[in-house]
Amino acid sequence: MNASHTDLKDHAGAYVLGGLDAAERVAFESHLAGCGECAAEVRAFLGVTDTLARGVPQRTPRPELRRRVLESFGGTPAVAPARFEMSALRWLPVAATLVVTLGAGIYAARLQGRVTDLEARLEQAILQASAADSAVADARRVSGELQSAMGVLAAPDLV
Amino acid sequence: MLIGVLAVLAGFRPDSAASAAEDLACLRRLVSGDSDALGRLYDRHARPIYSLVLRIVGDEGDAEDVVQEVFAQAWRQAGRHDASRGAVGAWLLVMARTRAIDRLRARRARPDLHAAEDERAIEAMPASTPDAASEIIDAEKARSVQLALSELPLLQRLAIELAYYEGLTQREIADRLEEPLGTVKTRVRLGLLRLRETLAEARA
Repeated sequence: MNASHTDLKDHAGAYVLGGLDAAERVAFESHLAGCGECAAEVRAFLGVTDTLARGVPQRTPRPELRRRVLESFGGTPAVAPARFEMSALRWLPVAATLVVTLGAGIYAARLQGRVTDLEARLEQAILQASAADSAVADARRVSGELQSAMGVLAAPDLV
Repeated sequence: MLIGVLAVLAGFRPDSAASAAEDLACLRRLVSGDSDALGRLYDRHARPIYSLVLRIVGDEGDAEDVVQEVFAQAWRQAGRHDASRGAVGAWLLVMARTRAIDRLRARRARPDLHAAEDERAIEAMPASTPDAASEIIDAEKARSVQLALSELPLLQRLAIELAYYEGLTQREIADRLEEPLGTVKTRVRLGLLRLRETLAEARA
């Protein structure tokens, strides 16, 4: 191993006991990432700290403490802020899809309305046009009849 | 005592697989806002947590405050617990120790006139009467750790206890024991290695 390992290998014990100051901890953690020997020692020591945690005289807390712990959560929402952000992120695409679908639906309904309106107006226009056509035809027929009548009247009496 | 020994022989331990699975189920129920699950977790782990915190802060009132904080933290962070990185009980004890040391440091920053009285009060406190197999086992476990610690050379034991239960840095321990920093580091490491061996032998 390098000089750094020799300097730092004694930190493993202090590290798991939380006895390194901030600068030492940063140095040891960066060493730990690349040193299998120190990483193995840290893993082995972690079991010992759990043992130390349980190696104290056992005392039963007062029953009031249980009530206090449970009561303090009675009115508290169980959803922590971090979890809320998570679920908000998860729902975001669904909400976006809903908004887009709703918008598209409204737009489609409006388009459908306009198409129906235009169709109705077109039909009316066709009706009006055909009415105009027949009026023109009537006018032509009348004017034709008039012309022929006038022709008859104006013709020299050959007979 | 006999029940405890029989229970150990029968493999009934609070950390057994069934118990670990129940802890994980409680955490999941906690995530979905089930406060009954908090009660279950409390019943299963409050005693070792309270005992550790009391050992560190040395005052019952402070210990109760810290225990409440620990369960509040467990409630908030239940969703972030990584089952692959250790048992729920160990996770709770790590949080308990960190919070207890924080409380201790805060109190050291503003010295308390009643500290000496608190210590005497702890000495005078009766050990609780174990009323369930798991409590006997906890007490047995604690005794075996204390025995293993007592078998360490005194300075190794002091260095470990000052680091773990008092939250002192290596430098602070060196000052307290009036020893070179390098010696303290070596003592802590050797002490932990020895403790691990002793406990492994006791388990075998």
